[in-house]
Amino acid sequence: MEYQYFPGCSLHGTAREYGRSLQGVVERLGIELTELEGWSCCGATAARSVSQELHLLLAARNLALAQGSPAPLMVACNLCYSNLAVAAHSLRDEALRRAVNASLRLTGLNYAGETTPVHALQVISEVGAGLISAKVVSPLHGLRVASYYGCLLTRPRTAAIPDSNFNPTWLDTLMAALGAETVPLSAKTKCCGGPLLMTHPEAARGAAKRILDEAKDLGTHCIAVSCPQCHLSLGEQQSTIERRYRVRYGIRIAYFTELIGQAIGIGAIRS
Amino acid sequence: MAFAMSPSPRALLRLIQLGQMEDALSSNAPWLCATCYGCSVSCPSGIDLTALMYSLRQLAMDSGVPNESVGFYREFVANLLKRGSVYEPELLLAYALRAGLKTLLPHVGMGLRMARQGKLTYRPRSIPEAARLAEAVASLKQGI
Repeated sequence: MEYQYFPGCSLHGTAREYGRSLQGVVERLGIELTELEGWSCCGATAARSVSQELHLLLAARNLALAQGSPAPLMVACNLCYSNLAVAAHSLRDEALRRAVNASLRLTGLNYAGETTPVHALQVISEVGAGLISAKVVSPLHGLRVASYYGCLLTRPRTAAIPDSNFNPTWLDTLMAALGAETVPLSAKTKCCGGPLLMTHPEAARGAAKRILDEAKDLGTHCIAVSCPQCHLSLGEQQSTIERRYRVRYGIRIAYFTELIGQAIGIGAIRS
Repeated sequence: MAFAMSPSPRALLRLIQLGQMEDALSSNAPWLCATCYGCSVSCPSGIDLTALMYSLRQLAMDSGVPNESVGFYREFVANLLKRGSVYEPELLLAYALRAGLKTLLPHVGMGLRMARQGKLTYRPRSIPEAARLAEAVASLKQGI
């Protein structure tokens, strides 16, 4: 199976361990990735805050770049995935697409409205937990893993992976296939506060704290994530939250692909 | 993020229903929305609150209603359009110069940890079509 790969700005930067482990894991699963040539930033939450048209244009450009190939477009970051999937849904409207294409034409592209982005978690889940479990050489026995999906993978319904909105289980199934002890985190789809980290750090940390608090109460050793922003909120922020609120978590935050890589013996980089 | 908002999303909607747009646009609530679609999928009346919050931000920006968050989003977009990709260190510096160096203080610890882990990028990625993308963006206001 072949996919066009949209890494987004983070997987070449602050989330490079996600990029490396993802590439290693899919290769082992027989999936071939080709990076989408000339991709541009999805606009994060900034573009749509400034203008709806800007949000649509940025997405339309990337969706148009992907339309020449029969290989589907695979997106790794939840925020990139959401921006592309939400815009792809909006751009099914012909009048809106025509208006966006009027500007997109200046880049030499025209979006036909037929690209459907898929998230890396979906691609790997579709390979099947059974097949992945058969490749496990170092099972994650004794590791209590909470699967954290974040917000944008399962919402809104028009642009979500086809798992449950409120209690998705794909990631849990994968973690169980690796031999991990799965932790039933009720905050698995709550927002990590990530998009507000720069503008409202206190509020953002409050949101992350609620997730870490529950994970700690459940005796979690590791939280599996699929989004660079979630990793930043729960991982890189964790010691700041510990100091600020005088708590102690000591919870490892890992990309789900790092955990798969660790179990099937790829020697992924630990976060 | 409703826990941090004042007015609450419900009160904000009421302001809009009452036609008090000035109060709605100058409130901090839309800027405290983390755009997680949590309320959008829960609302029994089917209101897409995330889309609404984005619209309020756009309206506030268009009508020049001041808010401390505006600078970050504008700098982000400006940075994106330079090369087609966002270069984080440059974005943070531009934002700090605009909003004051104190805005970086809560993030110094995290930045240093990430630098130690080799997670900072020292060379920006740039796409050859960036100038044409910026041109297309500039044409938007007339186009739609």
